[in-house]
This record gives sequence, structure tokens and C-alpha cells, in this order.
Amino acid sequence: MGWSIPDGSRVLVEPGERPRAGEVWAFCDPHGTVVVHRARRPTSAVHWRFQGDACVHTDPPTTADQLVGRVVAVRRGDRRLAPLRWGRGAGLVQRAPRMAVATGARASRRLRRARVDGAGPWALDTAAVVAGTVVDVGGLAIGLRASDAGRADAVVGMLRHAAPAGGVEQVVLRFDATELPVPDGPPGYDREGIELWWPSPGLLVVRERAGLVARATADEIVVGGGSVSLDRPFRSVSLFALAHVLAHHGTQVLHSAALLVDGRAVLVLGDSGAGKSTLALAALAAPCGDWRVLGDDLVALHAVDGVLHASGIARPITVPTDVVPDPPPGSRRLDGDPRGRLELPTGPVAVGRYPVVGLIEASLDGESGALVALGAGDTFRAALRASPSLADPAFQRDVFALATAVTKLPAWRLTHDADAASRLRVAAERLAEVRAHIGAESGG
Amino acid sequence: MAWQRAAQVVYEVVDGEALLIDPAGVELITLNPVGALVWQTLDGCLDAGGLAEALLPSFEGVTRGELEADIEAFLGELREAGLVSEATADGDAGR
Repeated sequence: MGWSIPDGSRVLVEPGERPRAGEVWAFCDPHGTVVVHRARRPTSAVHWRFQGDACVHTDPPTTADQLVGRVVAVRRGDRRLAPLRWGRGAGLVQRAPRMAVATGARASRRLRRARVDGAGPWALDTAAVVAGTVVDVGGLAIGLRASDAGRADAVVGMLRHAAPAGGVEQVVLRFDATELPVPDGPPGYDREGIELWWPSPGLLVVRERAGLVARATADEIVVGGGSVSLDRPFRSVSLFALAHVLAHHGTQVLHSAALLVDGRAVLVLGDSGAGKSTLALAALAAPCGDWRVLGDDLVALHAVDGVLHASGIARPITVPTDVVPDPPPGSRRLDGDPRGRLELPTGPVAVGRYPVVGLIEASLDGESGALVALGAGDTFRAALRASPSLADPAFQRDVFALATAVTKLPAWRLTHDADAASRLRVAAERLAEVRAHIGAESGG
Repeated sequence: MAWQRAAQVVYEVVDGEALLIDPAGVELITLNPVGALVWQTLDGCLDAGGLAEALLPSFEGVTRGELEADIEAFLGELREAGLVSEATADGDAGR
């Protein structure tokens, strides 16, 4: 009775050398505490990643000398509980016939073609932000203001491909050098260099480790302060602030990609580094050109007559360098990005709002290149983990409602191919399978 | 002592498991189907004995005393995590 393995449980371990993804292992954390968590794919030949089933985040990388052993049973009181198996209840999807294989060079050409043919006509620039312009973000007309070119650049980096909005601005996003105070007392959320406070109903305060602070209400985002590099800190604080503002207006933001096929959207969830952008890139490079990209990192979701609809938050597409050995002209390394990703000149190549008909969880765990059905519980957890508003007391119920709606969608877990050279091709093949399945379900 | 779900805890039951967010909004907590059954039965009026009485027909091979002891321990864990509290006169405050 209770959650998977409560604190204080006694576990029976057996010796082992290499954790396999999905196994439950005991290991010592850097403080010497024994932790029992589930293994994920190793981050290198000598580092493993673990994550508790009840934890939103993965543990820091673990080395061989920290490993205690594989957990084979858990004893709690007089009860013995078998650890839950990874992917329980999941089954292989019936695979559609393999599609034509694109070579790396052909995929690169298609990527260039997508940039030329498909990119939207909008390209926000620094001068427009300094002068004040209004763009559409998740269906909201947001007026952008920046006190100087450096800060305007950071805003452009976040929203470069946002479409201009007509009508009156509903929200103002202002970025200047003013140091904003944070509330007294500890933050309500403190993870990965981000601190959040909700000092009063409807107000969110975000502080990023570099020093930027944002305050967000229903109709205003103010970002203040400075740091050596503005791009990444601004992205971090504005993500939470935008999610807060949009939630006030009935729209939820997910840290998710969204791909379009046959006029319908498929969400792509997954932890940072799990391969959401790689899948977006695979969609752009797919042989038949059937897929388009609404967004590779942030998606706004809104229920219309009980049907979930998605629109992209138009950030530039960023991908790991190993999947684009031949970057298109105009690519640049993302400033201050610890993963050293490449920002492509290609923005989302579709705009508008589309009904959501499926979900893929991009994953580093599992059989290389496999696509397996995802159960409702795993889908629900993936949606919760992807929500920047999960910790926001005012919107937790909305986040849960969204996650519940998402469990009604057909969902899969896609494990990217371990070989970077074939990753895009394999991902495109799996997308074809997803398309066939969605088409079959809807009679299309 | 009657128990109620903590007012600020949001949860959903999916495939028989209850998924909760801890009060800090950081940790996702999953209660297995048995735990979920207890969680859903918390109504602000029942103590551990009352919960055991209500749930006994749902289980085979367990005595009322064993069930009550298990529920008592489980409620202790939930209380420690800030997920339940002693019931107030208003009754169930959850959800």
C-alpha cells in the first residue's frame, strides 16, 4: 500500500555490473545516502542515469563505484512488493510497411528546401522589439518592449518566428535593466537554477540563477536585471512567465514539440535532451514531405468544444550537432547552451491552431529505434512533467485536466536510434508508422 | 480520528493508480491501486477503523485488524508527506 517504494523500505539486491534501462538499482548518492531508483539509458560508457518513478527529474549521473546492486525485491512490513516493470502493459505497435529510406545527404537537402519553401514570412528583428511590436503567442496578442538592443536580441531569440498579431495587445512583455525584488522567504519551487514564488493570487515571480527576475500577472510580464549572457536566462524566466500568463487566459503551455500531418497535430513530449527537436528535424526531412512543424520546444494547448488544439510558440528550432553534421547556412551555436546545440535558421514551418490527435514521448530509454504504445498512466506523467505550470497553485487543477485529456489520445514512446548517423532516418520511419496508425484510427 | 485529503493536493486516478502532486508542486507521487482505493475513500468522516470497515469487502484473505493496521501506517505516510490531515468540521477538503 502506498507509492512504489516508500522511504525506509528494505530492499534485497543482487550484484551486477551494468544497470540496464528499466531495472531498479540501489546506489549511493554523493552524500552517501542509499537511493533506490530506476535506471535509464547511460549518459556515457561510465555514467548511468537514474530516476525515481515518483520524481519529475532525473538524478545526477552515477558512476560504477556508486552502484550497490540490482533490486530484486522490496520488503515493507510483512509485504513483499515486486518493483514495477518499466513499460508495463506496453506492446509493440503493428508496424506499417517501411517507407523509402532517405540518406543523410538527401535529408539535409530536404531540410534546406523546408527552410526555403516552408518558413513563415515573419522574422522578428531587434529594431522592431526596441520600437515596440505586437506578436501572436499561443493566441494572445503580446506587445514586446525592450530597453536596448541586447535585451531586444534576447526577446528575438525566444520569439523570432512569432506571427504579427492584429488588434489590441492583450499582454505586455517588457525587458529592461531594472533590478526586480523577489519576495522574502524561501521560494515555493527551487530546481535546476529556477526559483518560483507566488506571493499573491495571480502573481508569479521567477528568478534565474544568472540574476534575471520576471514578474508575471494576467496581462503583464516584466523581466528585469542583467547578466553576462542574456539569451538563455531570458528564455528560462520567460518560459515560466509566458506559461503563467497564458494559463490566466485558458491556455496551457507544454514543454513539447508539435508536428503536423494531414492537418492534425501530434505532440512530442520528453525530458530535455530526449530528442524532441531531433524528431521535429526528422519530420522536416521526411522523404514524402508529409510532416510540418508547429514548434520544437513549446506548444500552447487550448480546448475548443472539448477537443484539444495546439499552436506553436515560435522559437527557432535547436538540435544537437551530431544529427546535423552538415548544418544549413545561417545556423549558429546557441549562446550559453550547456548541451552545445545548434540553432537552425528554420523556424516552425506552420502557423495556426490544429486539433491534437496523438502523442509521442521521445525517450532515451528502451530498445534503440523502437516505437511502443504508451499507457494512460505514463502518458499522464509525461504531460505533467512537461508543464511549466505544474507547481503553480493557481493552475495545478488545469494542468491535471489537460493531462487527463491527453490520456485519451493514442500515444507512443519512441526511443531514438543509438546511432546518430541513422537517427533522423529511423525517426522518420517511426513517424510514418504513427501517421498510418492515426489515419487508421480516424478512418483517414 | 477522521482523515481528509489535504486541501491543496490535486490528484487524478488513471488506470487505477492515483497520481498526486506533493504540496510543493515538485514531486509526482503515485499510489498503487490499493493505496488509490484508500485515497478515494477518504471522506473526512472516517478514521482508520472506519476506512478498514468500508474497504474490507474489497479484499480477500485479510482480516479487519490487519487492514486497519495497514491503513493506519499508510495514513501516517500520507500525513508525513503533507497529503492528508485530520478532518475539520468542514469535512473533506480535497479536490
